[in-house]
Amino acid sequence: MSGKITVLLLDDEAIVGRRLKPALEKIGCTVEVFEDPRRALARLAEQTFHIVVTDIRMDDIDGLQVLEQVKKTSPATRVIMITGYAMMALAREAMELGAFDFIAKPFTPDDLRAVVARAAESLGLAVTSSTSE
Amino acid sequence: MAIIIIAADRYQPAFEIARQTAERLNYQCFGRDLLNAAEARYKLKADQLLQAFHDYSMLGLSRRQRTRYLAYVQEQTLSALPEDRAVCCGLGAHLYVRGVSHVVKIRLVSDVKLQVEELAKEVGATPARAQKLLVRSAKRRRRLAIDQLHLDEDDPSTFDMVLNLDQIEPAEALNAICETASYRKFQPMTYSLQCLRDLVLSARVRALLIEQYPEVRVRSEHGTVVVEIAALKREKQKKAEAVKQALAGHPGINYVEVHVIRDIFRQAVESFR
Repeated sequence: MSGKITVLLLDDEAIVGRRLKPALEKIGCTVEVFEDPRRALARLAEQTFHIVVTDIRMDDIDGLQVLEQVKKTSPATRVIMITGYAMMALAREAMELGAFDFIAKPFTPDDLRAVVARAAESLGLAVTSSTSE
Repeated sequence: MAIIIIAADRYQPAFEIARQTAERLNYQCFGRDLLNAAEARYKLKADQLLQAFHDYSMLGLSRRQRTRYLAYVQEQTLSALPEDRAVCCGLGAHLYVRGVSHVVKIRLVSDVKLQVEELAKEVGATPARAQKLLVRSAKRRRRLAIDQLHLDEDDPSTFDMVLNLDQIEPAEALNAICETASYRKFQPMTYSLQCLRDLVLSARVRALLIEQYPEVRVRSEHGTVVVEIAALKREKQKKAEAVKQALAGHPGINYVEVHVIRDIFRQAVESFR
């Protein structure tokens, strides 16, 4: 994994992807957005991403299952969990399963950019600077 | 890295374990000493503040005093703690960090006989009398934690780990604590750090208002502070404004919302006049 930072963004609410994709592109990430976890997992089986940003509560497959799958196939991928139902037990479980970070909604694009920048840095990559919104 | 909070029946042996844990992990260590800084601020000595937890006097503190002292200890403790890499012993700290996933809460249990002996020496009482004082103080403390913080200290699930120092040597306890704190689930994350910041801000605001509004409840989220106070209907507007005024310019606060609930006790008193 090298070059431009690749991000897979998974959230079953379309607005989240619409809002966050340009925010991450501003710092030089190449972002693919998915609303359906099955399609996201299929894409993850085809390609390795530097960073996966996933919602936790989704129908059929939840974010923790996505996290487990990503860690199985690509342990170096940094997985950032986002949720509107944050609780201590869930946060601990996500960290135990190998999440890089856990963010509670609502958050600002700047908050996510900061976490993505840290995740990229931990992989030896650097994001490009951007002006905050 | 995590924050480790140690609650114990006997402070000194627990503090020694806390100190050694901090030394081994290269963390900062905090104990009752941090209350010394509260003296100038709240005009109360550390010993007086600690009475909120360990009150062996005959009548004890009033409910209002106990609540206020607890709010001050809570504020002092949360304000002093760094966001990670710290060990804190005593001060009821385990009660203030509810929901913060990177805090490891440890309870060290020890023989009641030893506690009774220590207290008998401290207050110059017979062992039988010391035992009674100990039980009464524990009851008061438990009630306070349930009333004010909705946490039952006697419930082991309040803690991440309970160690019995009668059965486990301090060195083994030290190893167990250090190993547990290294678990990935106790590592800080954006969410848990924000939870801690919210709790610190709530504690600061509550400590600021509690003398004037003894029943005040405070909740914070990302700099938005929700304050709940009790007042008579006719005072509602005035008191809400006074709270907003008191918090104006306070660091970390972006917005204040004041909920005024009806003070039924004062209302009842006034209706009998």
